[in-house]
Amino acid sequence: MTETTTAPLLSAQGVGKLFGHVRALRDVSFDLHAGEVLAVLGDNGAGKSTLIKALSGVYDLTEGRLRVRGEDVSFGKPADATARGIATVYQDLALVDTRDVAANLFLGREFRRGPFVDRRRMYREAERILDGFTIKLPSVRVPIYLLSGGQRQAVAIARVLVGGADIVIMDEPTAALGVQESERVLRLVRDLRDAGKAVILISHNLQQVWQTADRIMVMHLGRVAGIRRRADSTVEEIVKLIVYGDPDTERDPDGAPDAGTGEAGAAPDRPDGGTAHDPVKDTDRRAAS
Amino acid sequence: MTAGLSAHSAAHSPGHPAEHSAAHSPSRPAVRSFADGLGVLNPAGWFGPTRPSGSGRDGRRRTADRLLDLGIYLALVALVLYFWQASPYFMTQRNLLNVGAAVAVTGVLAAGMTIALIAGQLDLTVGGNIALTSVVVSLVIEDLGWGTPLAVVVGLAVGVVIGLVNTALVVGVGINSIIATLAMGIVIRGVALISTDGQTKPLTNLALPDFLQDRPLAIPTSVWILAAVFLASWVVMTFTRAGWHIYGVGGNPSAALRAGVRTKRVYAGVFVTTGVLAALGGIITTGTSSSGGPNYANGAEFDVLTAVLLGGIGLAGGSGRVQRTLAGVLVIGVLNNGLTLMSVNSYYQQLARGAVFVLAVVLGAVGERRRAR
Repeated sequence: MTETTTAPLLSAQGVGKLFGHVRALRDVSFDLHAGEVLAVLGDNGAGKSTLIKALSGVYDLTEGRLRVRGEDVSFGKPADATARGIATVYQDLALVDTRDVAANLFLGREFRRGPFVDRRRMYREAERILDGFTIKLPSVRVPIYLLSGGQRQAVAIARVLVGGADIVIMDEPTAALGVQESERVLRLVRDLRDAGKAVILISHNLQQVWQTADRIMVMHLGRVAGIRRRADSTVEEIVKLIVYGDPDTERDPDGAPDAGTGEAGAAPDRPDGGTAHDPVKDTDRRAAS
Repeated sequence: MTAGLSAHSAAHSPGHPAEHSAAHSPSRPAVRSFADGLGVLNPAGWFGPTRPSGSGRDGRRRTADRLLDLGIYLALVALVLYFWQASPYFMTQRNLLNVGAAVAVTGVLAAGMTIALIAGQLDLTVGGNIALTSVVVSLVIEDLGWGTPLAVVVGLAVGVVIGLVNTALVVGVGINSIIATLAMGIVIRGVALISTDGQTKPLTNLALPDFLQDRPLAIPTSVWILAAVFLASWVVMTFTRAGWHIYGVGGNPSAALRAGVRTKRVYAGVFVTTGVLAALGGIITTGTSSSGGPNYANGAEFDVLTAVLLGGIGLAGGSGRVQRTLAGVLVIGVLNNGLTLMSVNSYYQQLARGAVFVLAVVLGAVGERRRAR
């Protein structure tokens, strides 16, 4: 299977974002296809959240083109992105804790029968959607505050299915979860992919990304350091991309910036240098765990 | 620089499973629920049958929690049983209807306040609203001679206008609703005082008092109104999209906004509702007292809040049910009535009301702590 067999659902070309004089994002280009999980990795400050906010309509772009299903789009507000079939599962999940599962799934788009909400249909529909999930809920009538973190994540993901979005952005879905619940949530992410959705998965956790992603896009200091097919890459290569923004950089005993990645504006981010540390050791630890 | 980056990355090296499981117990949400911080008794989900079939602790409610949730209903039943055996006059049809008529105005206001609290707002203009409406209605009947039906319409319009002004301050300017409506309440009462020069305006046209003293099917009109208001509030909050959006906006405004709920419109609807219901309270007051008075309902906000909080409606928004507020209103009504029937000194009645309130708050805090565990 190759990227060229289908037209991309979402395509970014030379996308950039300036905040005043600060260039948070520059020349970001990638394609996203139906039925794939694209993981976005990067250290803090690499531009992941800026990119995600631009894609979900929170920020408007200052440079480049964004195309959804081959059409040029520009998002002024989150609703514009939603209208194009882009749904974001926010880190805070955006759930109403005091309301039950079904009320949350259908918030803002409740089924109606005459002047009233069609509760029976919403409960039935909610059960149908959540039945297919690996994370089980006690009932769709339970208020959110009684649910565990993974169950809440499942409800937030189910909201996407209710809305009928085909591009799903997930911002650190496992950040607040334990091991077991993280596994289940990642399973849900793969289920979304298998249902034909295009998923962008933002994560810090390389191991989880490895389990879940089809392709991995590494961001470094606001630009794309590289996009790799998971099957064709190694953990080591990805780690190098994350750390140096370049896959070919070897460990430099002087701790001096590599000429290849050299980006004059990059240095102020971490001016101190710090003690020498073996990145390969890092890699081994991650890979071993 | 490379070394610096590398050290940085190592320090933040995310998610080795070993670290993870040590940091968080997997069976428990790591992020504490926002609802854990909710005030007093939380009734959410009580009337929907929650099937606790899940594994672990998730989604399960304890019997004790359910009993705590039922507190206000149990209190009402206990009070009724107590006064029933304590006074031979208590459990008579006439007396029970008196209880209903006595709490009619408080009840109508409390229904509105419940909706406001569910939306995460407070409306403290209701006392001033009653005063101004009663003054306007009597002036329209007496000085303009427009007739009672039209006066009632004008009175309700006063409520709408007050609701819109509150909306403008809270949503438009962005002032906290407690502050905005507290200030507006003073302004409104000032307007009421100016319009009658501080005097009470008696009604000589008695159509409105007659209407309110009428007893269709042996039940006072004010009790009918009370029942209708609570029925309508219950239907709106439970079965309509507007009600669901009010819960959503109150529980998590930013989530509701991101879900496409027009939150500003919801707030406007809520303030207009509390305004209109307070105006309705003002019209009832005008009828039962046969006059309009700029000093009526001084401090009514706090009687209303007492009833609403007795019903366990959380101040944090997003939770609460109007039927619980009705129970809270009736507890106050039964307590006042019963203690009077037993000829308890009114100072002690005050003490008893306060004690019941404190007890309700304590039970609410216990329930909240159980939930936060």
